[in-house]
Amino acid sequence: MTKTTTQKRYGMVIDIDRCDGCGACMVACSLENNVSVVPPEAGLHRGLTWIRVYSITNEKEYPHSDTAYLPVSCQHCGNETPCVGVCPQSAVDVDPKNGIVSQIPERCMGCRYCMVACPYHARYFNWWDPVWPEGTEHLLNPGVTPRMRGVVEKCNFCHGRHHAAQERAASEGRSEIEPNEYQTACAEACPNGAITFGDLADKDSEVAKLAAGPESFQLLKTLGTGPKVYYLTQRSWVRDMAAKTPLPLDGQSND
Amino acid sequence: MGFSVKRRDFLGLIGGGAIGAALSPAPWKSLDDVAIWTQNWSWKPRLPRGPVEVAFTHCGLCPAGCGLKVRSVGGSPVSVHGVPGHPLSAGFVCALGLAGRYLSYHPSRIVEPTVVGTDGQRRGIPFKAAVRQLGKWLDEARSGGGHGSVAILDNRPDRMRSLAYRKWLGALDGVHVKGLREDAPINRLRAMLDGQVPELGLDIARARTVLSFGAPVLEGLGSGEAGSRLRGRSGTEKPYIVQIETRPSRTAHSADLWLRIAPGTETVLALGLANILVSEGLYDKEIIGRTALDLDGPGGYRELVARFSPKQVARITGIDAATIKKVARRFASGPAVVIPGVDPGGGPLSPEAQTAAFSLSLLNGDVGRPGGVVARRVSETIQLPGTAQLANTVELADVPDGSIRLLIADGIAGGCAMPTSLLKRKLNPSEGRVVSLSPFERSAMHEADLVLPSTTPFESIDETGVPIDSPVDSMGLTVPSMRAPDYSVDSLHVLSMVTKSNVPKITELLRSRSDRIHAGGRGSVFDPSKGESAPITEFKTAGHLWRALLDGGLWTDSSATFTCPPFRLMGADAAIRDRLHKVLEQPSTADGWAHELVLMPFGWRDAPGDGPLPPVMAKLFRETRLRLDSRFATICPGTAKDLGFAEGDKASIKTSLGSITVEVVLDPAVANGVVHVAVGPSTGAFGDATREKGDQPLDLPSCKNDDCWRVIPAKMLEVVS
Amino acid sequence: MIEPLTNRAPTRVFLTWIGFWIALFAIGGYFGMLCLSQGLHHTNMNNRFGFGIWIFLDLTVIALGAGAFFSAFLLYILKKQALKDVIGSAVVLGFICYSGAVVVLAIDVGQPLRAWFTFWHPNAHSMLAEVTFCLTLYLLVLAIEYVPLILKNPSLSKNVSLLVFEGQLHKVVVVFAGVGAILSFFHQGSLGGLYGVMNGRPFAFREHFFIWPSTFFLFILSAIAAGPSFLILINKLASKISKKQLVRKEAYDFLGRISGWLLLAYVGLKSADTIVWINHTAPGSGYSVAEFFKEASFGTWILFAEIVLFGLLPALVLINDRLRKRPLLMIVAPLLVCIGIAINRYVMTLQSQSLPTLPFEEFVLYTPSLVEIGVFGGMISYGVIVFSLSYRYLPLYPGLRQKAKT
Repeated sequence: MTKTTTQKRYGMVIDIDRCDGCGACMVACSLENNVSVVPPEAGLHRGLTWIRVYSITNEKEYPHSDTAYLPVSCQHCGNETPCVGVCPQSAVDVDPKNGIVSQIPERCMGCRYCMVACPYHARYFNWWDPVWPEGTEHLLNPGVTPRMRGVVEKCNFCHGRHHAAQERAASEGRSEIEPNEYQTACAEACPNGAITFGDLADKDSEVAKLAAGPESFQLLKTLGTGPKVYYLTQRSWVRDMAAKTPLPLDGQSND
Repeated sequence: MGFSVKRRDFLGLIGGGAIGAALSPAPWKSLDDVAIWTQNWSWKPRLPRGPVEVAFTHCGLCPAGCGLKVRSVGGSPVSVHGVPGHPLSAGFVCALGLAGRYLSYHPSRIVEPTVVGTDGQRRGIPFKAAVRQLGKWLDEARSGGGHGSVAILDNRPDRMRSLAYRKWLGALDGVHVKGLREDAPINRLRAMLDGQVPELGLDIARARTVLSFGAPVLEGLGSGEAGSRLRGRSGTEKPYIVQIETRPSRTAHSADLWLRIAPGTETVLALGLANILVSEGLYDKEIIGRTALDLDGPGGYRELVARFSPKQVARITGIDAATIKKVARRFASGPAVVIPGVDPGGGPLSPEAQTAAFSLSLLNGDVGRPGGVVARRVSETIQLPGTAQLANTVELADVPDGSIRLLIADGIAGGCAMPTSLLKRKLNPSEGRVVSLSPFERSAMHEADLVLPSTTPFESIDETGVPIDSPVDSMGLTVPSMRAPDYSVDSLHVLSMVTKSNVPKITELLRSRSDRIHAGGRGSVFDPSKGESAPITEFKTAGHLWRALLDGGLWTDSSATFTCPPFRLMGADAAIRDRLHKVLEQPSTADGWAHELVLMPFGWRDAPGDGPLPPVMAKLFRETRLRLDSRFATICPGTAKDLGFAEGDKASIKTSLGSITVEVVLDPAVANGVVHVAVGPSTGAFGDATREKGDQPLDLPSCKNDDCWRVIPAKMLEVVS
Repeated sequence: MIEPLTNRAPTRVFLTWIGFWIALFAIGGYFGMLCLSQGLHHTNMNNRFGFGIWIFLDLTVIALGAGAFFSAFLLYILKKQALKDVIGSAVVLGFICYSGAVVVLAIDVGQPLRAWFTFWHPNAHSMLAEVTFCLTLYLLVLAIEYVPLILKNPSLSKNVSLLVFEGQLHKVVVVFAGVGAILSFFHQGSLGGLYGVMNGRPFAFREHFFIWPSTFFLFILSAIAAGPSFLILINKLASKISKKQLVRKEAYDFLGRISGWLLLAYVGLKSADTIVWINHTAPGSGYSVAEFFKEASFGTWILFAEIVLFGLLPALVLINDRLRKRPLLMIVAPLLVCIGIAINRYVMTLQSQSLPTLPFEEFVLYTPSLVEIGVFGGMISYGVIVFSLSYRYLPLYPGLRQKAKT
């Protein structure tokens, strides 16, 4: 049955306790979105990883040692989105119909102000011309335009897939897409089912239920950016490290 | 009166012209054009165009053989997805499977036959010359040596293609050598059973407990279906996973219980668990008393395990006695699967450790019961034309040293790397030659005398093999989704040219198996486009079944019942029994060489063994450091401090055979006195597998035993830059 | 043929001097072309350091170039005649700073051919759009203010119509001074706003007054405080090199005094802002300021240096009539002021990026690559070349001309 709501709020819930750091989400994302293979000298800070899996440890020795993996992509901030207001030429856009924060690479001049403004370090710049090994260009996803050198790119919740789903719906005379018609590549690829993607505005959706659950939290919630990517964990040390807790206003750190 | 233009007129003309032009579309159109031009650079890659097609196939990159849905545009496979409902993979496809099609264009792809000349330089030669060269070496090998002087190294020795190899080798008195595979230990269990034993599968999915000795059970080992159940995603009760492993692997991280045992003490722990099962009577005394042939009596199993008291085992393994007891009781509480894992880089456990581990399965009555070890029905052997006997299939470790004069390596990736020294020792020291049939440059084959470029799994038709955990036999095809390049050759074609004999084509072999299956009338066929299975009886002719398989279908056999025959808990091999009895006497790592720590090489499960990594994976792991390659060594902060190293330092790891240079990475979960270095493709450049000699930890081990190189005595020295 | 003014260095000396800077400029130009043709991987910037040394130095240069609009404002609008001596050099300096910054910015962005999209698809909410608009327009104003100076070259002023044109321009210079002041005011402010609006970067984020963050006002104030100090420094340097008294003492004194009082006001407001930030703004975002300064490379010493050592101290010197009389202090104090402003821009640009906001991200340090330094060196040499040419051929200093006549 077609949902009657027109206002969508796409979001994601990532269960940290299910993530084992295999990196399938990153691979699936890069393949889906034609993320270029950057030269090795890019090092840790000049690559392109729309979704980046961080590994954090509790710094304790076995048997108390514990590692958690945190996939971090664009958090699709829903409130005072830090990157949108700063872009001088409206190359960053929040779609009012679904809340997806997208980068328009064709308009971006590459000033990188949005990267400086993003608290999640989730934006990536093309320091090089896009490179694929010779002959592999015809293996790229024809639904997503590769970006050129000198522009910023980032996760857009697989915009190509969203677009394709909308086109399919339109060709069948529907104005809305069904929840199962639109999944991000990372959510699809995760072998552990750690990533749930869907419409947060739909209270019956799994993603909305998980996001509203007691184990859910947002990264850097205190910044007030209203991320639409939520995280789940039962491990308190992960939560303490990953989520910034509000500080008392006397300026004392509470850790 | 002349016509004169005053300055004012001129300025007026310019001004008027400017205003007029501004009102015309010309400047605005050109602005627009500039805008469009700046947005579309000519060096942006051209995306594929053309008709969209969807086809189904199976992944040939590892023995799990996942079902794939391939979407092609203009004949190029642009995306790969899992197939929901697939009986073996259940919709799963790993990162390597997603990116694997890029391997066909990997920069390390071999595009012409190459030979090492007398000057030691590798150079390209025409295909025909390569075949002549191979023929010459074949003649030399046969005239110089006796049985087994010609060998084919096969990483998936159970395919129809392997059958053709054996037939070919049979005529030459050669030997069919199994490469290192993750399902190899099951043969150890078969050898413990008495009498004729069918193929066995580990029924991981239905086990109550999974006792994994370092097996990458949560990293893609076995079928996607089993993986889904182990991860608790199938709706059924999730097996309890006990991971027994020194390294903080991803499986260790996600297991229900991780036992970080002291390096190389798996045998002791397995016998310690057996001690509790025996002493607490946690086994069916009547059945075991009847079927176990070596439980009692002098030198019997009972006597052996009695020496492994929990206290003693705790001292050696570093696992406290209470935990050992807890695990033993949990294990005995229902059907369990024991997996003595083969690490993709670290290799297999020692034979005695494998035997000790499987003795737990036998003791627990798991062989022949669902959720334990199950038997597969075996299809009748297919007769190939020709009078020659089939050559024997042997493990590489069982090949006598120096016996092979010509080794032909089949190109398929096995998923497991092995020490170069091991392979070398099997070759005749003066005349041993290696011919590699491979699509890529491979680290283990970087010294091959002759290399012939073969096809990648996405370009050629072949069988997928049966996953380690499958309770039934199956047949799925890797249907090509890309055209094989002109320079690539098929191994069977090469063999037929070399000996000018009639070696069947791979399609003929596969078709004959399909026909045999159809004639057998057992099992069912899964149709990936519909997502459902139909009994084989619905396929009217053998041609219908063949067509279904070519469309990406999967045949699965019906399950068989199997009663566990009498068995030997310590195996039939006297040498292994002897080693089991001497476990406590052997110092675990001493090598007569003063060392301060042990090097434990390991591999990533979905890196293709000794082959290259798809560029996108190399890039992502490099940019996030999520997976470290052989340039890095992980060590715990305490040990690093004792040795005077800090995060990011350059260090040289030295063993009795040589040294490698690494960057130190600290991880508090690593055990004291242990350093882990990955084996496998580099995450630099495009994920190349080719390495300089001595670059990989597996070039180092002093492989005293052919069967285990997991724990290598080593030193860590400062690198003076 | 355009002749140099009388009383200038011999041609051979001048050519040696200018030759050196042209060589440096050529190196910078080559590095710039590398970035434009191959991409910004030639720099050491990265995804964590989207802004590097170029942005930091651009901001500094633009702050120091504020002397131009501020002197024009004081001279033409507030009629402070003491500034007559320096207005010429102020305009040239301003022009150099702004045009140089624009060129470096063009290399700094990844797709300079699309820079005009800011005018085509402007985002009215973006501080950077405001900066771009005001900066380009003000550069135009500076060019217009520069033209009369060029026309005053004796060779050119022989042309009557050009002289008339110059006279006409001079009449409207008040208008341009006013427009320039407004434009400058806004872009100096919005440059500060760049940082203060970043709600995702607690180190940079500041309290807002209406739509502007406090950094908006602090940047304006610090720029007009530092601009006069920079004028003093450059003119003293030019005097030293040319071995001539170019500007009267009264002008220096006036500039010093105004710089001092404005700086004092700035230090006061900056301190208040910092206190609010420490106790309210940063904790409100979930960060304690102590976290920001826990790495040694950006310890609290930098805060102390910025506000006290290079702020309060020179301000106290410059507001003191007696101390301003001491020639050495009149070099040291303006120098401290300029360094202080540079530290402020450095901290806002680079420290704010070194600090990770994600708790599990690492603290990152950045050192500019040779290419980045080379390009900036090119910009400095461009400035020296333009200033040297202006000094040689144009009557920058009315005082000097009078002297030459007598």
